[in-house]
Amino acid sequence: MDPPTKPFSSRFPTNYAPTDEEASQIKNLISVPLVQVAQIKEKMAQIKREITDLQQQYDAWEGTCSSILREASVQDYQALLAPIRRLPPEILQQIFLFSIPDNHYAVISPNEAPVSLTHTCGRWRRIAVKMPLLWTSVHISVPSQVIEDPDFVKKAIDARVSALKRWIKRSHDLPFDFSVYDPGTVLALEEPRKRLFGLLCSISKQWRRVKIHAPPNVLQRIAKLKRKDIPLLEEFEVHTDLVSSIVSCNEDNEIIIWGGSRVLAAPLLTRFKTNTVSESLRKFKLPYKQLTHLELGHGLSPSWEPFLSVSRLAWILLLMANLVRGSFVVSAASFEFPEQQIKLPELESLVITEMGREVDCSDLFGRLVIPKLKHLTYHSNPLADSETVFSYMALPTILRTAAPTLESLEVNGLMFPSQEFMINCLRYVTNVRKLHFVDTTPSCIPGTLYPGTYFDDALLDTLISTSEFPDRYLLPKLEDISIEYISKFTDAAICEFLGFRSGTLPRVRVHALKFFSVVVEHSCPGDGGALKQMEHLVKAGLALVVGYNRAKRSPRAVDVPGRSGHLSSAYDGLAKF
Amino acid sequence: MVLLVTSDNEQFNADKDVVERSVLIKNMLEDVGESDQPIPLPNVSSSVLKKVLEYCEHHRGEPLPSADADQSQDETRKRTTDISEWDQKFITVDQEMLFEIILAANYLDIKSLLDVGCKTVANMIKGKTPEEIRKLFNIVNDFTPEEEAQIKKENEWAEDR
Repeated sequence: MDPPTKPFSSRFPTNYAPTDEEASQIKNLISVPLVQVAQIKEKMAQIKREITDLQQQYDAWEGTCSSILREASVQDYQALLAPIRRLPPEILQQIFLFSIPDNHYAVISPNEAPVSLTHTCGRWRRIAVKMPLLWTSVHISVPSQVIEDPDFVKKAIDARVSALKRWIKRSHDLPFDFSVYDPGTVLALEEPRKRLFGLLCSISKQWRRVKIHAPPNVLQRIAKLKRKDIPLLEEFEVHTDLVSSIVSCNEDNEIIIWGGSRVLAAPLLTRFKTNTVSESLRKFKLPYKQLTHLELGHGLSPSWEPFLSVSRLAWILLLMANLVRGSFVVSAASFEFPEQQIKLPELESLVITEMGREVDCSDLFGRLVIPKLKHLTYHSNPLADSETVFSYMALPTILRTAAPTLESLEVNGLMFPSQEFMINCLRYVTNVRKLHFVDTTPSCIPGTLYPGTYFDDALLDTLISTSEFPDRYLLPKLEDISIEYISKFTDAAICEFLGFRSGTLPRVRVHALKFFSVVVEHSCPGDGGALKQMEHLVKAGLALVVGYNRAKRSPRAVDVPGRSGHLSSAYDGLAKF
Repeated sequence: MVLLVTSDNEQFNADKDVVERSVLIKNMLEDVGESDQPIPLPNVSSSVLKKVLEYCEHHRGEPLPSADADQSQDETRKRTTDISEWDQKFITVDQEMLFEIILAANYLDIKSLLDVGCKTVANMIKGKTPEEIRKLFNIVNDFTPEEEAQIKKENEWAEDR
């Protein structure tokens, strides 16, 4: 299609003069576009003016922004938006309470709550110092390493006293839990020590759970508190290193600390523990009937045997119907046992350590009624001399009684005169899941075998066969076994045992083993040995620890006293899988 | 079913025994009786409510903690910061969402969820220096000179450690 021709276009290349009518037509023709062009030009000029104006405003604001950003970092703005700032005080208080250590008493450290909370910012500090619950537990440690610089230790104790004062002030009158560790190794510190323990005694009405490790003279001062001074005391744990201190004794050579003390008669006391009974227990005024936890450690009598005889323990236990956990170091019976049964309906955990000559717990164990006992630790530490008479009947006696409920058993090998005896004992405890043979003694009983000889391939074979009792395995629920004695297991037997008790093969009526730890007398093969084949079990969750004999030596003569330290010297080739 | 409306006008339908883990909603339902009326939650956004409902759904049917038990826990201070495996995975979110969940749990009065949130923050705080805590949560050291002096005094004992 031809383009439309413009009016009068044929006249453009000529000098033609239009008529009046034509001139009028031509004027009409161009007047409208000229007006439009003028209007558009005007609009364009206006917009240009506006753009210039906006540009000037933009430049001005941009300058302001730049100066703000120069003075403050992006992080400052992000901090303003930090979500933790929006938390109301009551939620921060909850968080603070959870920040306090839950497995030990709080320590006075800027890196631990509650101190760290007060050093973070003003708001946190104001909230934290006004929360008494944050300040109701503390641990105080008296430095002991710098023995040659008493001034340093004195200054350290004074600083702790100042910190403790703040702590106590912030706790208001709430029940207070604390532990103090003062081994008493720095002498000539009586004055600062008095200030520390004097401050603690000044708030004895707040005491609830208290653990003190201190020299006997400090404990003697604490023992003078009256019953009315400690109305809230529930748990009291005291330890001392008697040999490290100079302290007066009575005519019987006893270091009197708790004899006659009313502290032990605290109205709410349910837990009492001490590592050292330094005087005759006849003088103790413990509220046995209300105690749920009692731990009486190794007492140092003039004869270096425990003050607590097994017969006295029997009489004490007669009074303890509420006992849940008990731990006792006992010496040989000193008088008659009670006639009646000893009923301990709540007892869940019992730890008995025999110490000295002719200790025999059979009479005690034979009287126990313990329907809830789950954990038993029973160690024997006889003196290794020719006068020692050892009774092996105590362990089977208590295992028979506790068999229905016992889940965890820890014993030392001296309980067994032979492997056969050991296996027969273990037959009672069909519900045991955790078994630990611990080597606690520095010596063997003369004339007996080294207990490590009981742990051989025949024992492992017994654990995976039902040859003696059809359809019944020895220790069918065993999940965790640890043997500290140097055993005679071969790698091949261990593999076979683990393959059955922990492997992926179908197990009939036995639990899967989760932990296996032994020390063997042979050295580790260069290629890692047969146990390398057990990697798949480890990947499946078995914890496997095998200690090898690096020195390629046989265990020492079985009846030689002084075996202590043998493991560390000869058996440091520990393989963990 | 209960209809919940969030601050950004999203609607969520949920089972009654799920939403009643919130004491606030439980009380509201008791107040209004049987009704189809939606429950407005002006302090909770849709993204946060979605997480809260996920938590309530998982813990549906579990016994609710009593107020007495809580008080006794405060008094004895037996406060463990253990968090179950599922709850740990659930609460593994960015800080913004973590604090939003805490605020929502507080507003909706879901004690167990509030505890999970607070324990998570507490575990982040444990073992850290004040400077590390500030950095972690974008907190400014705004102590007055007097407070700084007091803190310095409190720290004097630490120099001999």
